[in-house]
Amino acid sequence: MTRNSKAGLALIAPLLVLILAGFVLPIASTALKAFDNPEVSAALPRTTVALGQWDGAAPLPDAVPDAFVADLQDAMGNRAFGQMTRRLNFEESGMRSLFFKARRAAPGLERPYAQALAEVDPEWGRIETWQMLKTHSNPYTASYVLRSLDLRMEPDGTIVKVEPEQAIFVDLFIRTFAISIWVTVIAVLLGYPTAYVLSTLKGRMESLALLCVLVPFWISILVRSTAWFIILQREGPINAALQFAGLIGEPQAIIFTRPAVYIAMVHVLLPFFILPLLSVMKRIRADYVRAAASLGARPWQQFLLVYLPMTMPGVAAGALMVFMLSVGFYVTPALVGGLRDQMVSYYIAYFTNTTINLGMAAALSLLLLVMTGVLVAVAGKLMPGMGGKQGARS
Amino acid sequence: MSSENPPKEQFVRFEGVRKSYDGTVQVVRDLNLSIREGEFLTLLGPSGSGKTTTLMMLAGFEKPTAGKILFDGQVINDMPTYKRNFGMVFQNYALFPHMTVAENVAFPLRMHRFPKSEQAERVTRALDMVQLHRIADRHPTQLSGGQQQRVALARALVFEPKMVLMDEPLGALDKQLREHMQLEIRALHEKLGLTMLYVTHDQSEALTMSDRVAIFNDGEIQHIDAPSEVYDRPRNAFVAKFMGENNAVEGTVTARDGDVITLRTAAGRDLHGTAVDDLAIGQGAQVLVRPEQISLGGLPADGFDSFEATVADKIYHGDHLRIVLEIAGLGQVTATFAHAEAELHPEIGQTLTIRWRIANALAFAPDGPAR
Amino acid sequence: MMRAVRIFAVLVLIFLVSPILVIFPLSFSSGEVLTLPTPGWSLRWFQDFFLNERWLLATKHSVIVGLATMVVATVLGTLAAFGLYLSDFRGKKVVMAVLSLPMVVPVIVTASSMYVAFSVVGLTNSLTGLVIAHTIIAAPYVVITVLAAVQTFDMTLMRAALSLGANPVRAFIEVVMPMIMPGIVAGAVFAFATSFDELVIAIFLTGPEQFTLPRQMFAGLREMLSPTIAAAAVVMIGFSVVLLLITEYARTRGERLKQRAAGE
Repeated sequence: MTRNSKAGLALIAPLLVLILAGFVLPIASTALKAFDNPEVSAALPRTTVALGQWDGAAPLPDAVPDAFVADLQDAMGNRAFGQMTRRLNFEESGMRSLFFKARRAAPGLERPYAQALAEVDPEWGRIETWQMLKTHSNPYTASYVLRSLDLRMEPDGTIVKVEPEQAIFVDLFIRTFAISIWVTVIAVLLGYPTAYVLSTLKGRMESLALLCVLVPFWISILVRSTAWFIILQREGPINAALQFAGLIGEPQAIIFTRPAVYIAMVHVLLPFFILPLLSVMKRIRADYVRAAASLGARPWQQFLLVYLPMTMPGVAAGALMVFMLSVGFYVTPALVGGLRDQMVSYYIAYFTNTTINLGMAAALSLLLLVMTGVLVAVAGKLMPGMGGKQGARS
Repeated sequence: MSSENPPKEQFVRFEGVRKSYDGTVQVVRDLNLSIREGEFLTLLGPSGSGKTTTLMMLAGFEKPTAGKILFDGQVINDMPTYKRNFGMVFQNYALFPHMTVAENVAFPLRMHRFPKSEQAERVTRALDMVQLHRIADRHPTQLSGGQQQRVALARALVFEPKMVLMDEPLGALDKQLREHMQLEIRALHEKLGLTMLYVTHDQSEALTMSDRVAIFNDGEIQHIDAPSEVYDRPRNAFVAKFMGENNAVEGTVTARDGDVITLRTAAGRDLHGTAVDDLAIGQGAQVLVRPEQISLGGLPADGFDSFEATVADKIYHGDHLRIVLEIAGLGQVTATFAHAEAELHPEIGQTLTIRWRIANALAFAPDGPAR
Repeated sequence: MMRAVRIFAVLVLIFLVSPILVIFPLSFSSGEVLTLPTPGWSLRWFQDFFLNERWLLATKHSVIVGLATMVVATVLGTLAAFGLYLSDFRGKKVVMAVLSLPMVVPVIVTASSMYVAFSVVGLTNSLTGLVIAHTIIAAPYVVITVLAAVQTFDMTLMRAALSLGANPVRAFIEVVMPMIMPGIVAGAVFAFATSFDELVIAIFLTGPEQFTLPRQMFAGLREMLSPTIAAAAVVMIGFSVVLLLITEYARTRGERLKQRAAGE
């Protein structure tokens, strides 16, 4: 390694270390957390050992209920126990009360424990209950990722669809990507002609038009979403104007609908498309189109065969930018969308902050990362010239 | 040079200097070169010949892979550039765009901590020297190419460096301005008596300006001598062909009489040449004749080779005439004539007698495969 | 045809600025509800904003976090950009990819991951944690802008300075810095703006004691929609426009220098 490279690495090191420790490590631990399953083994250590020695087939060896009751007796008022019951209840409702019932009864139970437990609740007499406990005594689980795809694993290891009323996540991912694609398409359709007109302007007109793009670009996403939140209110200016014009009698619900999400998201993201495209268009000299004209191309041919292909790298860069940002959007849909318009990010926030189900938050994060990565990679393959460095704000 | 001591013969010395950037390709191989104090030495060669790398090593921007560079008897291999005290003029001038002309010229004075009062005086003098005092407050971009060139010169000279290095400084100028600046630089050299090392790939520039020219090829000096020596008495075929134009005739050596050899072409025609390389009978060789050495008419005489030739083409060049001649058994040769000399007004298709001095027909070994 | 395209573009530009044009009159309204046309004009909502402890504290937090992020991100980002420019080692591509990761990972994933990891080391509900998080997402942009400026810098100018007797440090300060300063300023302003506008990470990493301006606005929106929010939005717009002007100034200055360097 040359002297320069060593000095260079020393200059890069502070930022690299910060990003590795403060960003890469948290993301990596999120990825691990999606498979992490510490609750049962933490709350029931002896039972976990006993379950590990059991092959999972009937009959249940006595060692398991023996260990279980011993663990229950230690588990009085312990936090790990509560976390475990919440964890198992997420897998199968009713588990929480089943375990608390067993813990209450534990001090008075007498051998044989298998029978005593079954008397506390017949569920404890079913082999499936113990099989499920065995499954989740494993420190790793696929159940969060499976659940994020509306799947779950049966005690015998087969993967099945969850009950329809619980199956919300596949729809959620489809909705997230559908909204993102639509926002991208609308941004391209609105942005391309606008960028073109901007690229032809000169002097004062150019500055003014550019300002109309730059000012929104620099204003915070929250402020712009707030503006739309206000504008689209039932009592907001749009409804007032429509009523005033006599077009509608009653105020219409605009806010908390899908169109509101599209309007606000396109508004927020449009500058991210226009600006990179504009810089590409500005670099295309008029000579190319003139050359095409002199060679006999009609105006539409000049556009389609010469101008459009030359601007494609800008379109690709801008569209990629818009898509990537919109996939992870949280603030705008949370403000102007209804519950049916929320995207994956909403549920990541929900599981992290409200129900504190970090495993689900991690699984959804991981899937969002992977799906976005795959989509961007595929788009990069399909559209060469994509993935150019574009400095922009998120 | 008005100093009492005679100029040092080995002011700068390269001893066995090698340079390789990647460990395999040698950009400079085994360079041994002495620069005399006060001389104007030009490094001339095609691109990639190692001349610029040599200059960069002397400037301290590159380090030799092996060997020693000495300045005034002291090894300077590891001395940083800013301590070497050599003025340098760059190809695109490298004037600092955020400083005015005067600030640019004052920069080295500030760096070398000249007293404040002296700085202003020196800047004025330096700008006077290059006739730019009126534009001291402008920024470099507001100047023409020639003016920028002069500012760069003033900046490189103002702090009285121990020598001046120039890396193709005139390359960006148009032809007329370039010729004018050649004279100006030459005049500055004579006036200041500074040692100057100049890199160029333009041979006419090298010939007009230099005390000595070092011709580089393949990372080695092929020939170093006064311009007239290098041109008239090239040490090898590369130098002969690189300097000016040459007609080359190839064949086999059939006889040798002192320096003079007889060469037989594949078509069986004989001609003579003065051997520069060591040539033995039976060996392949080439004879090189410069177009301006060929004369029209004249009888066969001692010390001359003469041939019957047919005029194949005639090109008008303004200050001279260029004629392509077909000689049976020799092939085509080109000859150039001043108009006064071309009184014969040769026409295309006409046959005439031409001749050249054997002393001016230099014989070399054939070109080896390119290294 | 071209005429239709122009009209279309004008409509899109109006769409882009319309929310801003709506929010201004609303913030100066004398009415209690956010309706247009306003019943009258007043500064009461700005008064409300500037006299309210919570809004003021939030503004203070935003400015502190923004400035701290700007300084740290600019220093680290500039150093890294020079490091990348100077060095050529195996794995440089990987390092560059790692440095640009915070720009491509969806913010929500970053925010929720940081929340979990930072809570382990006690950096949640703390402005320090927020500065660290904002530095991580802002520094890559500094690296990009500074690297772009450094890459257009003509290294022979550095050599010229060395040959004229400047030691490397002097040469850097006298010649390199003035030439790349516009790039550094642009990166710094961008870092401040990124932090000042950032909400998602702030939602995860701050409690009510550390609320920043966007976080306070978001909370306000969910509680009760009062015109004070419009006033807060106008205050934030004011900050953004000032930042935009600084960037534009740095950009035109940078282009002038670049033109000069290019000759002509």
